[in-house]
Amino acid sequence: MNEISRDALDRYGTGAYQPATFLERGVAVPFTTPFLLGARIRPTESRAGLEVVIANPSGGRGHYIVPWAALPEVCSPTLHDRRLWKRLSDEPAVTPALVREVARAIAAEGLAGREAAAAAAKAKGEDGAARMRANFMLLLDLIRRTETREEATVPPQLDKPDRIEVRARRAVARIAPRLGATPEIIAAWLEGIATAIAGLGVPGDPIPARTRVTVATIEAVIGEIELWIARNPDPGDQQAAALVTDAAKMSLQVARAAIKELDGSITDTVSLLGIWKQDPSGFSRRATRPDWMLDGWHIIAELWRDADPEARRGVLWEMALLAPVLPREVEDWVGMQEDWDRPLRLRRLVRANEDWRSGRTFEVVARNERLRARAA
Amino acid sequence: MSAAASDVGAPLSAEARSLRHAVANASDGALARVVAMFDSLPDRREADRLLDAVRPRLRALRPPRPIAMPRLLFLPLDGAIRHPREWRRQDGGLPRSALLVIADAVRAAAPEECVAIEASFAGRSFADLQSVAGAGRALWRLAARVADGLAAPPAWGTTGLSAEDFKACIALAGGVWRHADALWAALAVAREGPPEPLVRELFNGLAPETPQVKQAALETLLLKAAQPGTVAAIAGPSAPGIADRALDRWLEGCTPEVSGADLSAAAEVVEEFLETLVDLEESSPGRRADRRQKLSSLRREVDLACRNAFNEAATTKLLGPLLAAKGPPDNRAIAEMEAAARNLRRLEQAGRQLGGGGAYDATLSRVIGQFGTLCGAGGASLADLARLTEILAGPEAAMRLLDGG
Repeated sequence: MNEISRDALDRYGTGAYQPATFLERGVAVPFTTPFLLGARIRPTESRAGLEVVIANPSGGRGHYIVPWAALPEVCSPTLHDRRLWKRLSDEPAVTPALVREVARAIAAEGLAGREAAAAAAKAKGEDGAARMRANFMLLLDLIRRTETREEATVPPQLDKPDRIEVRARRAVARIAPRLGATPEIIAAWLEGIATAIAGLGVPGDPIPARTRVTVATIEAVIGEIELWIARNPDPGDQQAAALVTDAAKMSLQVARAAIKELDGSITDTVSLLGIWKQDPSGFSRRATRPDWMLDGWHIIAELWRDADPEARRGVLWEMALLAPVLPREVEDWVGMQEDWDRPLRLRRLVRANEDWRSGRTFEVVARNERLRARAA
Repeated sequence: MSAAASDVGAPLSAEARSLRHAVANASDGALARVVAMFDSLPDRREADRLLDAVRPRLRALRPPRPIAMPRLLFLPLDGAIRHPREWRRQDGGLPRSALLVIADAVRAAAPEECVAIEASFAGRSFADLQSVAGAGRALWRLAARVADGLAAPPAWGTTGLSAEDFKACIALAGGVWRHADALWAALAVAREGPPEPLVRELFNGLAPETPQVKQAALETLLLKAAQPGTVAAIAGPSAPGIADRALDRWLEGCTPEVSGADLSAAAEVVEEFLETLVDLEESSPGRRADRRQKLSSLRREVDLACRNAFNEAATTKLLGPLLAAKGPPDNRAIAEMEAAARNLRRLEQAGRQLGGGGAYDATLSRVIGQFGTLCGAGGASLADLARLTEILAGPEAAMRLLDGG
């Protein structure tokens, strides 16, 4: 089960993996096959098809870069992964959101287990709720910004639902002429914005949206690793821990910058509608940046959380192998200068070690299915 | 044994027999609770007798047992403990009936230090190896120090053993306790062999000791060693004749219990047996003709037990619940079946290395064939059945079920 075909892998060989853009870095696919854990899908250089980037399990510099169609040749993927592979094969372009949506649909079929199916259904429901909540929060802000002092005696968030609806209609009607649109168009724009920012949510919302939860999760895992390493001063473990926490901090740094920039726009619904009017797809693209920047960290964080305290040494090396690198495009996105290749250089020192994958394959698959469920 | 029948070796009363029967038939959970209760008794001699019939099950179940001073004291002599009826002074070893009295004598010789050691492991279990090692070393050093001065306490009479027996027991235990640090170092990594340097260091240290002490230490080490043949080969030159005796004794006692009732334990037993078998077949002590014959016979026995357990558990833990289900199984039932399927796979992977591949293929074909008839029958979903198939026989077999379903 899930054997690796060394012959096939040798045919494709390992290659340098120094992506210049996030698209070149690829999108992490929540595979459950041990060899494919953390693998990334990306368009080929010619954009004629897709390929998969797989971290070399023996560490070092190389990554296996395998044509997407050849995936079942290099290993024997799980049932879940075969379905996921087939469904993604039909997609013309890949983004974290698209992979998430497709992967949830596949997990919902139950082939990664009932826990993963239930988690996928729950996550889908939560995304829908997050969209509605973002729309509601935008409307509350619009009400606050368009009402007179007399009209605003009751803060909108504390008002009755039917009153909020009346006040929201009035706010939309007031803002529409200022933006040269009808109230119906304003309502459609708000829905479009809500869809674009659903994963990020509105700043100050007491119910944090998915991206903000991910940031908090990664922060927590960094803290736990630093605490663990302070108690386990093995130089080898420190190396792996440094790689993971350094890469995580870099990803957090740029994600926080992108979120801050977006929050600046989202806090003022009136200005935001103006931005949306000018360039809706530009804003939508910008809103996806934190998702791209944090892509792949869910699985890494869940690897840490799933591991028994005594197994954390092995899992740290597994995390180090999967830690994503940041492409140079990040400088254009957040205007920051950093030594982005640092994790890549540290990764070269990751010891050739497959001990952590020497467990029984079907048990590693079961673990990966748990990760799949928790990172739905 | 100098006395034909000690009170501990005496026949059981009707009440005790009935209790032993109840313990033997207790469920795994109940048995674990019974053992925990026995472990908390100040004097567990009678309790030990009740547990005799379930010792093989206890080895498989391994319930977490609180650290108790007597058990900790005799941990380095684990492999040398004999049933009172089987113990003979000239053969070495310690009769089980003597253990508590000796432990009490050690405690009486150094009461304050014993109290301090007991306080150090209060509330800890034998699963906490760090506590076992820390408290154990302190206790074994203390026992080694006081052993020479110990005289048979009045309670020794209750064991039915003679004063000469006491001296022999103390000489043996004291000798092992003197080297318990090195023995424990090897035992702690016994599943890794243990590594040759640790075995050499132990037997170099044991060189001035009596053959009985060497044999007791070796028997304890063999009990846990993943590579008993290699250990015996290393110990052989420094303990001529003893290594052979200890290895033969180990082989006599080697009766791996492979039961389909506890698949996880069965798989672990077979995996460990395989490792020891390979080591014995390749090591020089294992190549002796009579031992080869014994190993071959053991291989056949375990192979057969493994195939039977696989076949039985595939029926009782998978097909039975699936066929009996009146509707779709709930999440818990599916989780249990998937766990059973993983353990079956583990058992099969180990079992195939003993032979009998065709038997596993036949069972798998029967089970997966039945899965096919269950598709759309209102019980488990196609996805559930496909997953069970995938765990048991791999993704290709599961794809075939999906395509046919």
